[in-house]
Amino acid sequence: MTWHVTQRTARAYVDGEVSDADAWSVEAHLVSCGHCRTVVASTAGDVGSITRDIADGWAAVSAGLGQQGRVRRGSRYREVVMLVASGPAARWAWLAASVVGLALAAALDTFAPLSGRGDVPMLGAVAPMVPILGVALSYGSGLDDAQEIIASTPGGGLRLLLVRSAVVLTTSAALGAAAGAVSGYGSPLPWLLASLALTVVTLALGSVIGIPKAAAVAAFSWALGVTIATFDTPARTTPAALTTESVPVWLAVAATAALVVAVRRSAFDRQSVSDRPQMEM
Amino acid sequence: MTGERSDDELLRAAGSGDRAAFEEYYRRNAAWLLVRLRRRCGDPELAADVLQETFLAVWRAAASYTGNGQSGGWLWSIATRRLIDAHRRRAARAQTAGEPYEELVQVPSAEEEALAASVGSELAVALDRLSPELRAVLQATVLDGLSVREAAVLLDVPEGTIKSRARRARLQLREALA
Repeated sequence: MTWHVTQRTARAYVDGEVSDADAWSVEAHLVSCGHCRTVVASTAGDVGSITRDIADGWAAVSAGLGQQGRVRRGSRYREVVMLVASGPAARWAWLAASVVGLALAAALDTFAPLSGRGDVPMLGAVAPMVPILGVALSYGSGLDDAQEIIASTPGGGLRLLLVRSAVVLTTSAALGAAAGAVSGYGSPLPWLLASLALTVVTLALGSVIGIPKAAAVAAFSWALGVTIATFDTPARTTPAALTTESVPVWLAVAATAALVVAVRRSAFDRQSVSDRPQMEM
Repeated sequence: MTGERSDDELLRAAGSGDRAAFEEYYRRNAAWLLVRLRRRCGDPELAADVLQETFLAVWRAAASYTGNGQSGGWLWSIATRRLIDAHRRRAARAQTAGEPYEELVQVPSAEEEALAASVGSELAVALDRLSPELRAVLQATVLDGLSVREAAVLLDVPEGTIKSRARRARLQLREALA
């Protein structure tokens, strides 16, 4: 910046004897020029009332300096943490329910294996429903306190949904794998892929009827399917949906549903928040 | 003047709890801020109060300053908020100590006229021809960047009046400068 406040103008400004036009120029300039701020400060040094007010001001300010506000800088990491943490329903309640459910399933498999006509690995039957319910709880269910605010942000649609779904999937996959390892379940690949496919189907269906309803439909269909398959398979064998033969099928289902999500992605920007339970005032 | 630090650096240091840096920042910036505040509220005591409140707020919020060379505008924006708060409190207590912007009602001195002639005289003359009320509105909304509602609090007139005065001031300036 080449223009600076002249000594004469600074003098007149400090003494309050400057025209408005000049005062405005000075003020607009001072905001962006540290050099001229010091010029004004030194000019004001010989105005008694100003130096007195400044000295008194410092005495009061320095005596009143309290706790400083805590400011945490935004970062990619914190952004994701905030996104995940703001899905309160998907935190402890869901996590506890998942752990208990999976533990019970694993215990049943270990100590009292159910066999109708076919062999029913409880863990394989239960595990794929865990992430679906997690997704339903963490998005659009009306349980998120920040839902209205989130709905009005640019990232509140599909992006948030995908972030939360990814977290839910990772967590439930880890939990399920741990339960499987403990109970000596075979390859976890089939039901892991079933989880993935069912979750993506939930998202795809959710673009039409909303995530909570879609999750209910997907989870119920899975439960029904597994039950029917159990009675439909020959004795001492596992339903096909839970064996490695099903891997390509689940992959295909997941890919198709992902395509549907991609095509219908704009639908998530208009998620209704009307099904939020009313708070009692 | 050895190891002179910029205002930005001082603010950052103050943000991490450095009181010496904060004092240096105060010494450098209190003067112009006080002068500007005095021009805005016409009551030196109120201006001194607002100055103190502003720097207390700066101390609390120093860590949130992330600008680069914008500390002047940052400081002034804090100060205007404090000034408006002070006016609100005063209005709530129904005290009136001096007309706001009474400085603007003064008669231009000979020196002022001379200065006006030296810097962009056309604009200066046009501004001087505006009534003090119109100038005050223009100053609050254009130079200080206040919203209509804030300007209404500061100048103690209804919001509708601010809007119509701002419109009138712009029209007059446009005609004068055409």
